[in-house]
Amino acid sequence: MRVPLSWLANHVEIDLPALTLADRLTDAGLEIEQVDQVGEDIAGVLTARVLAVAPHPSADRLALVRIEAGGDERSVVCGAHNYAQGDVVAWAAPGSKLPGGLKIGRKQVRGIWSEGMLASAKELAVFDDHSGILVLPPDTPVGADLVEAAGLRDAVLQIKTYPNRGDTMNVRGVARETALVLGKELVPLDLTVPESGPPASRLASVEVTDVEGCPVYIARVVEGVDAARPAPLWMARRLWLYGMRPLGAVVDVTNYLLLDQGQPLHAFDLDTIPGRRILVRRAADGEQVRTLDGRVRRMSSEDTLITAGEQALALAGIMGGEDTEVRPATRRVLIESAHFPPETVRRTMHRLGMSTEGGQRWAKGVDPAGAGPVCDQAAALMARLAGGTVASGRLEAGPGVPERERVRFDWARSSRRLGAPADLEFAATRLRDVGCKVAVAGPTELTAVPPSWRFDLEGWADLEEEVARRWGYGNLPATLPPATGGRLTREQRLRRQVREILAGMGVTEVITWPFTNQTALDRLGLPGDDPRRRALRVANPVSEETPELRTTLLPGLVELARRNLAKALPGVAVYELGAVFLPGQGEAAGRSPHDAGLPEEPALLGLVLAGQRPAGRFDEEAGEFGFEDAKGVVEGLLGTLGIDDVRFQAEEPMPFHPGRCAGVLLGGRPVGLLGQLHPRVAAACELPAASHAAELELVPLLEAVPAMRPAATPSPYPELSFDVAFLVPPAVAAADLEAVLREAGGDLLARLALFDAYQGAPLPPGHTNLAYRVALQAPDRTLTDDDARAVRDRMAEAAARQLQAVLRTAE
Amino acid sequence: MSTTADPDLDALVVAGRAALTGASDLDELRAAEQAHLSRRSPLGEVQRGLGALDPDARRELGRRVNQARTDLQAALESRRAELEAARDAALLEAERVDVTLPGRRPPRGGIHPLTSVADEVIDIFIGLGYRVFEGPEVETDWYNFEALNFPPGHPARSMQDSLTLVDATLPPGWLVLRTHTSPGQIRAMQAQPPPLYVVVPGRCYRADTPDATHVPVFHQIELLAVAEGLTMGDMKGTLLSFARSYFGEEREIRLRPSYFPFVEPGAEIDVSCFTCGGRGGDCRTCKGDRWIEILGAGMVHPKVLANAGYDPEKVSGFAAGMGVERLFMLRSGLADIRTLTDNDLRWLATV
Repeated sequence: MRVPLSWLANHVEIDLPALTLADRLTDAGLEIEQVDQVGEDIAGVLTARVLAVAPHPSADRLALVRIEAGGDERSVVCGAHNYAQGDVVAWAAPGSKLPGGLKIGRKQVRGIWSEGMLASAKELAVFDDHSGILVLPPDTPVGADLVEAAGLRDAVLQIKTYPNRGDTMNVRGVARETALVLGKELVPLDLTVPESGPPASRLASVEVTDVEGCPVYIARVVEGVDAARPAPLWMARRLWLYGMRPLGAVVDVTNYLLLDQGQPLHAFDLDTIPGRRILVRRAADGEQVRTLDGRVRRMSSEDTLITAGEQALALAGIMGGEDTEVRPATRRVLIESAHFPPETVRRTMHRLGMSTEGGQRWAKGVDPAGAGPVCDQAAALMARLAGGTVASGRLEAGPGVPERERVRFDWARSSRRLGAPADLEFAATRLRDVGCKVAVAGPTELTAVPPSWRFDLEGWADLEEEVARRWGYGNLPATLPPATGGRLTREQRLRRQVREILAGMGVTEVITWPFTNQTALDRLGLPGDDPRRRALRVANPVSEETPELRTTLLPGLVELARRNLAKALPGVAVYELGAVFLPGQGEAAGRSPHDAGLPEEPALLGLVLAGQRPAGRFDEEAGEFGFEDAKGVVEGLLGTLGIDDVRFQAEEPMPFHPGRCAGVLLGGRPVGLLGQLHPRVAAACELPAASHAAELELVPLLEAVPAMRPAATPSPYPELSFDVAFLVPPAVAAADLEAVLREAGGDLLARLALFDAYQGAPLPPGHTNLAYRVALQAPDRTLTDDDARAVRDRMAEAAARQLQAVLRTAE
Repeated sequence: MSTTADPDLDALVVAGRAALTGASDLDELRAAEQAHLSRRSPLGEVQRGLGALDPDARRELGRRVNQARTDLQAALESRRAELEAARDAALLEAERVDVTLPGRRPPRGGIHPLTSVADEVIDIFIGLGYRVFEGPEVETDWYNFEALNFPPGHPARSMQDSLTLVDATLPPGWLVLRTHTSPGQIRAMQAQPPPLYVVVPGRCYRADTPDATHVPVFHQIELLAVAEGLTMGDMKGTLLSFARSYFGEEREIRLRPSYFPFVEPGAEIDVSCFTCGGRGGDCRTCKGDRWIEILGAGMVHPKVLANAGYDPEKVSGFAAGMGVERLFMLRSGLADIRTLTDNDLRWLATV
């Protein structure tokens, strides 16, 4: 809500600077987001009287205007014709400056010198009219500075309106808060209506059958208006500073009073209403209304309509109809000033997807007590500004709005919650200040009837806030509650550890948006029936191109790698810890009706290594990331976490290279995959061939971290070491041989470490030489060569029998 | 060789000492040792001739020979020490490196600044006795809005434009990406009876067009304390404690009345500017305002307590919500929130 200070000052005396007032209001809970100084960007524009108007000798459309601005006569060429001899206009003299920085000079227009120009309202940024030049009120002094003479200099308060404070969405409401803060009284409204026409009841009738949707309907009739007449400068200016376009005096009066006092009004052209009869009723299902904006709206039986019986005229409180709107030719106006409860207006606006100035106010609550007085003011103001006479009497229908309910308020409890004085009068005074009717209901209890304009005061907590606000939040004490036992859960602690381990291994955490699309999964080569193809869709996505929620972290990471490599980064090593969204009735969805439809959100760990592996130092060669780097990060992570029961086995699914992909098994259960990206995938994702990825389920991984690891007593006896090498046939994996050797090593085996893996001549094709260092140790004695020989023989026998792997003897 | 009874031992010592001390390196020293101290040296010759002398003469000459040998040996050792020290010094000098050249670094990884800030905030509240509760990112309308006192169609809903999900089996708009971490309040209260002290960190979503201060995907940390007898003063003290931990011990906070549907009374919390110390003037951080808005808070609305199954007549509490991005930007001076979502690894390596 934008409120010019000069307008506010019509309702309450302001005796302090705008910025100070803004601070005071903000402290009291009416947040002033900004104060705009307006009228500062016009310089040297004067008021001038038109002395004579003549046609330009060589241009039909131009006029030659003689003016006087408190000195010599001047001659100006002008393209507009909306003025006459004697009018006061705005003269931008040579050397003057207009908003936007435009400098005015003396120039020739079609061969005639023009000394400056006559400016339009738009050129002066007074409001947006550019249909002609700005014609000032006839009593404006001539030869004066325009900014002073027309009161263009102002400070506009930009007020943040909370959705529960509809009462601050108008100037008088802001003035009410201002008066409280400054300790002043509101200026009383002038409610006199110069009635001189026939009784209104002879001209029109009003009736309400939907009393729930419209408990109050008040109307007045103004006859003989000139609807073509523009609003006076001061009103147009105020509407404009708020952000509304002036549309002509009749409609502007309704808008002005909406902004001034928050009561939405509607002006009907009375002669277009069939039978000049208003009936407020429920809409029929499917009934159609053509609204002011030219659109046809389909109604439901929950909506309230303003009708002429059969024919719908307007959506109650939201928008008028096209057929009955005020036009320049309108002579008789029916001013509607009703009351519509928030719920019905909200429902209709929500269903139709509409939001209007009036509708927004109804939705937040409009003071029902304003309907009558504002209707009177509107009629009086319209007659004054658009001409015409006000017909006698109001037309009224509807049962009225019930009195607000009393709210019980236990001040003992609330004073304790606030740390405020327990004295009952402390609360009562403050509630009375804001307009509540307060009564004492017990030693520590009050009842309060909130004022009609305060829709936010419903329960005791609202009254508590009101007292606290009036008291000042600055007076609250600062204490600490007796909380104890703060800690992370084991899973939360381990998740932090995962992050630290990965960072320590040279991988950087990233956070990507979880929005993706099927094309990204196409690039990963996922088959059409892959379960990750089933994704939740966002109805109103941030980008139309990525309407789906991710089911895998890889698209986001791959795209991030691509973007960073494209910026000439030689290599990328990144991970993300985040949720993916798996649609369907998962475990979460089944808990209660409130959880219906919730997807599963498993946390995954995604990893991408692409391009060059960073060298340790500038003079070292930087190699490319390989399969072993991706595996090393996963092994390093699991190893540091202390997870023992891990196996890797060859897998072949997309998006991985079929010969360079490992499934990760925890206690035999698959928890993810790692490997080099398939060359086709890397190419489709515009990544280098040396691109590797991993994706693991986080929760089973963290659950596998042993809570406590048994600590063995170190043996005091020395280790006995020897080497073994095996010729391993194709299709036997290193892990298979290692498992057999461990088994054969038995209790004496302290360590088994691979130190060579070789393929090629002179070995038979496909065969591998795997060499291990074996370390034996016993807890109770020094081992001998006989022990070593026995273990070696057992290993040789087992490897040969189970894997056809042959122990190679030293030459 | 002669077997003179009185060889000129003094001359031998003078010559030997000259040769030993004059040796310019260890090789020369070894040669001088050979020439003057070995069995074949003149001194050695004298020593070998001792056997032929009568006992008295042998004793006398033997004593003098020993003296000469001791003298020369001392000269040898002293010179050797000098030369060895010189050799070592030369060797170490030759091994000198430029210590300003970079070392061999393990590859550098990192934790995202938003994670670090969230962890820091969480740790502050753990120190105040809070635990960490986590809820889903996809929420139902009931948890995200209705239970938090945003009835359907209520104007407060327009404060937070939600991203909604398509599910033909459910009413439109039922599934939303949570617009705040506040639904975690309801879930935390449902999960355990009071007293309850939790923080709820998490990612949130709104249908906002990105600009310097808005992104549609952002992070919040919710704070919720509910117990018997909790007061608004407890809220103020807790948030003051937080502000001082995060922004510095000299900070003050200011509470301004504000509106969030799920709290009443509601407040906006400002912290005194940590750049100018609350003096204002032409401070770039607070723009002369002296105060910086950091979070929203309030006493949990009785309707919210009831919706979550707590008894508002028995317990009371307070809640607060803060933006992790904003907390990071305030302290780091980062001007554009979009930098945090770009995932430019060069930039991430600098923070």
